[in-house]
Amino acid sequence: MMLIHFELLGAGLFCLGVYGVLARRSGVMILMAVELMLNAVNVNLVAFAAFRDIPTATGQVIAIFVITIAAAEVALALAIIMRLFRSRGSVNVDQIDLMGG
Amino acid sequence: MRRTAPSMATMDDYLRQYGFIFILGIVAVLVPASVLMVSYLGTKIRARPFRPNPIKYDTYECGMDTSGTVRWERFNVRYYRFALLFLLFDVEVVFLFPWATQAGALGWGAFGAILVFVALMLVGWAYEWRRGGMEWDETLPQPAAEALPEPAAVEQAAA
Amino acid sequence: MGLSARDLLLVSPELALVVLAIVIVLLDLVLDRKGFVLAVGIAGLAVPLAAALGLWAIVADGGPEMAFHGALVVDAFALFFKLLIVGILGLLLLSSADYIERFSPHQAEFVALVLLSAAGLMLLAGAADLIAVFVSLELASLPVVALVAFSKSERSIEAGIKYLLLSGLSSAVLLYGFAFLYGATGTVRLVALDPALPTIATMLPAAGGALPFGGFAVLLGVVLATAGFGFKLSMVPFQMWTPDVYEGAPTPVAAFLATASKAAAFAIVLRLFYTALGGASADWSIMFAVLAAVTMTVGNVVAIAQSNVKRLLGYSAIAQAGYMLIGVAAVASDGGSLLGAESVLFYLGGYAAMNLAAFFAVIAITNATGDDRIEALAGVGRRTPLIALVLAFALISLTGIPPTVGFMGKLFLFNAAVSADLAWLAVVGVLNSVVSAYYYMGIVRTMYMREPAEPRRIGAPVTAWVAMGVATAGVAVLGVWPAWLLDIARTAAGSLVP
Repeated sequence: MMLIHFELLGAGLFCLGVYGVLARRSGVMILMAVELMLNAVNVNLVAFAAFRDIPTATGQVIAIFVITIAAAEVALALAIIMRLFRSRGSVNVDQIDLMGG
Repeated sequence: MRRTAPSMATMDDYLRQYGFIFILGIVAVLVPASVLMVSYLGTKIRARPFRPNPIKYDTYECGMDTSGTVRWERFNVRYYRFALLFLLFDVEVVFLFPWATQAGALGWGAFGAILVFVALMLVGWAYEWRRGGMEWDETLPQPAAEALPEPAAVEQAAA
Repeated sequence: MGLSARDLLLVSPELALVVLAIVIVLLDLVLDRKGFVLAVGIAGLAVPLAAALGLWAIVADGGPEMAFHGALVVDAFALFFKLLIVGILGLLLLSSADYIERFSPHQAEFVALVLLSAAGLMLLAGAADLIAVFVSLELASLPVVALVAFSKSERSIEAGIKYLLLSGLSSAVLLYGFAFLYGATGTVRLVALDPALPTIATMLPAAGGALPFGGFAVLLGVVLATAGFGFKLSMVPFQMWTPDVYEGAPTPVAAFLATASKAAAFAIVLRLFYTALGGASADWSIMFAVLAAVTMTVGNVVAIAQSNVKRLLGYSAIAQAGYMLIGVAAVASDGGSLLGAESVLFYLGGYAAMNLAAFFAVIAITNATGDDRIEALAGVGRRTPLIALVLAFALISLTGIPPTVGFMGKLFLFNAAVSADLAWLAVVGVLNSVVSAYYYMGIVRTMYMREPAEPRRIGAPVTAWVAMGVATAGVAVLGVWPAWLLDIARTAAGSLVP
């Protein structure tokens, strides 16, 4: 196992996430894509930490923070998406056009 | 920066542990499969009685009468609130784990810091509790069935 | 390990804000009357203000202090932003006294979320390692997401979901950049990044030392981090969310985003690039110069076509971010002078005053008319001469006409650009100011030259008058007597480079 393997895995996951954000219409799916990107970052961080000359826990500490903050983000997002669904009857964000943005 | 893992031996040991999980998986499939097979063969050689009735063919649901179908059953929207709360409190506990493994070495200062963290969680919990976030609110304005996507919408979104 | 009294003292302004937010929420849970919320919030701001001033005195004597094992730094630069944010917060709460009545019975949550977000912004200004940057950034933006979606209106929910998804995307991109910075240098400490940079060439021999920033990994890290921060700064091409969110969000939240959020985002960008990547300033200076030119041009040109005043302020915020990026780009090639950073700090202070004045006037007017189209401002000069005067004065300042702080701020920014051999950027800035005069003055013309649709007079509560008065006084005083803020900005910018 080389560092580059983890890098490629991280990059692949990240690109999948970016694709998901750009291609999906459902707010829930976009959210999942963002989570995928965050997890790609976690893979990178933990790998970078493990492959140092003297392995440190720094990367893992960042990963823990990323996981918890992502959970908070998801909770907030689902709450707002549920409200969007109640007012609109759909979770698709491409129908968001009240402001023409 | 090294280009290979810190110690390949540890890394391989670590991966090898997944081998045990794999073996466990095979056993987990084999045991029920063999039981079903024995039962089937028992029918074939007429060692087992065969008297079907509707209750026997019902889906097992903790002894209750089953309700609804198993296809795209809508969850009550109220479950989502509990799921969200669970998610939040469950994940925040991840901070307790690293502390717990090193609690003795870190001493009272870290214990104080963790207490502050738990106190903050308690504030969030108190807020949920007082605001009625944990009540099974029967008077929720939107009936559950309307507050969730139609199966068609979900499939469309997933497509 | 663990908590020490010294650490707690050093984060006392943020701590005071968080405790204040918790106290407000808990009081709201046990008391039935809701009127106290805002009073407690505003009165409670005295504690973080006093704490920040006390720390300023300590830092002025004994130099910067590090807290939490070097995760946070308390220096003049961080304290400048902490004081600025507390000031913005105070005025904002004052001005929104009757606006938040419509959120009843959830005023306490509104105030608490604003306070928590402000605490995150203050931590961001003092963040000294990448973990602290990320965590405080999220602490600052997640409450804002909830605030943007706070109104019951569909536009508000839409704006909230848009802000949430884009903010999540931007923080993922930012983190990916941080991961590369950490991977390439092996440290998350901002002060340690710079000395660690030369080792990248040895880590990636294939890349050699010829690439900008000394290596491909760092280049990737810097580009991704810039993109992530670009979202918070509403920098082109990451500005798409700005007008929608400004239009959909409750107006006080838009004002908070435009002033406090933007100030803290500039704080961390300045700190990251001046402190952590100062050695590569030649590489990023030109990047920010181009981004500044594009950002202000896009903001100003698109703003001309707007018909909604909140949307227009959104595009104006993009354009103003472009002006301030001039200061970020204007790092002297020898790295000795901090004229650029200094002028950004001064402009941020002045921008807070003039933008808040504009937003307060808009809040007062739209609260009365319930209509945020520019059309609805017709004849406001007759319906409420004083508020119209405040708005007109703020817009004059945003355009950059003397004797206002907007003029002084732009003067310093363009001066910094010229002295950093970026004269072309100053020219672009001046041309943009001329373009911006068209739409800013268009509002003034609508207010004074057009007949009002209805003659009913527009009033405002006393608290809103106080907020408008303070903000307008800030614009005027800084316009004629800018030296004192410039001195403070110089002290603050001085602590950027160790």
